[in-house]
Amino acid sequence: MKIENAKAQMRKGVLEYCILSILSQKDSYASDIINRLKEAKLIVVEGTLYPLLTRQKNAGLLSYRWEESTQGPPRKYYKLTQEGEKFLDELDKSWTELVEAVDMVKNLPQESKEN
Amino acid sequence: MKLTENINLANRIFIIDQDALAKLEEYLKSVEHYFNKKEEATEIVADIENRIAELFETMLNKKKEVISMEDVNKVIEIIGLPEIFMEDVQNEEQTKNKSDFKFENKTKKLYRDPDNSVISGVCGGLGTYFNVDPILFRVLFILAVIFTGIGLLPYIILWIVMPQAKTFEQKMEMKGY
Repeated sequence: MKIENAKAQMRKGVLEYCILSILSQKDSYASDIINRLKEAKLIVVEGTLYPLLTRQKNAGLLSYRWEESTQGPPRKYYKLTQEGEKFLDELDKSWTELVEAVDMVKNLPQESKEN
Repeated sequence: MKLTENINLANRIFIIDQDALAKLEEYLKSVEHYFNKKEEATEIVADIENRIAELFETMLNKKKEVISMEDVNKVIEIIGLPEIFMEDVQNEEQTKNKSDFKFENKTKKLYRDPDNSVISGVCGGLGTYFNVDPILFRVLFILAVIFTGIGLLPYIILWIVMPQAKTFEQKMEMKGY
């Protein structure tokens, strides 16, 4: 098993969650989202984002509007829909549960050592 | 000296070297081929074209007016080849197929029900199939025998053509699980 593969699998799972989280803070266009994800080292290449955004939009989680830009072409600003907000709430819950679960599993061997 | 072309990318005009244009076209085509649904492909390619236009504009200035092969290569490196960026995209088709499979199994089959039978299980099976109390069919058959000329014949035909649910699997099929 390659470490790159395992890492990619983990990243894949949280990527959609992170996109929704970014959009819940502020309506953004693709390059804003890309910069945030790059900062967090969640994406390697930008192309990953576009299919994800399109699928989330087609699933009714996002909507968009066009805005003129002073530099460059008009921008597609994405926004969470009500359904998207509900979806994100659910993901927030399951993320917390997941982190707790992983912590619990990781901490167990230490406790048994103490005993 | 090099020949150039004018292109319209996301409603912007760019002057681009011919070899660089060929490379860009090839790249966009390869992205498009990666998506099964045509609408999805068109939209994603349009989004990516928009991003490329944005990147191109940062590469041009008063001293540099033409997009070169080097610029196109840089853009492809930033956005990534589709076979690389699609690795991080969940494959929806796979999960969809799984749920379809469950659905297909849900069709009911008509069997004689040995666990719910008075004579042969014909009425029990009919009841399960149509989701009603089998007593309804029992009464109907008795009435048919008493008041009509056809008598027992329909019942006997059903007894012959309806197989009995013997195995666990057949019983599940009968109930539509």
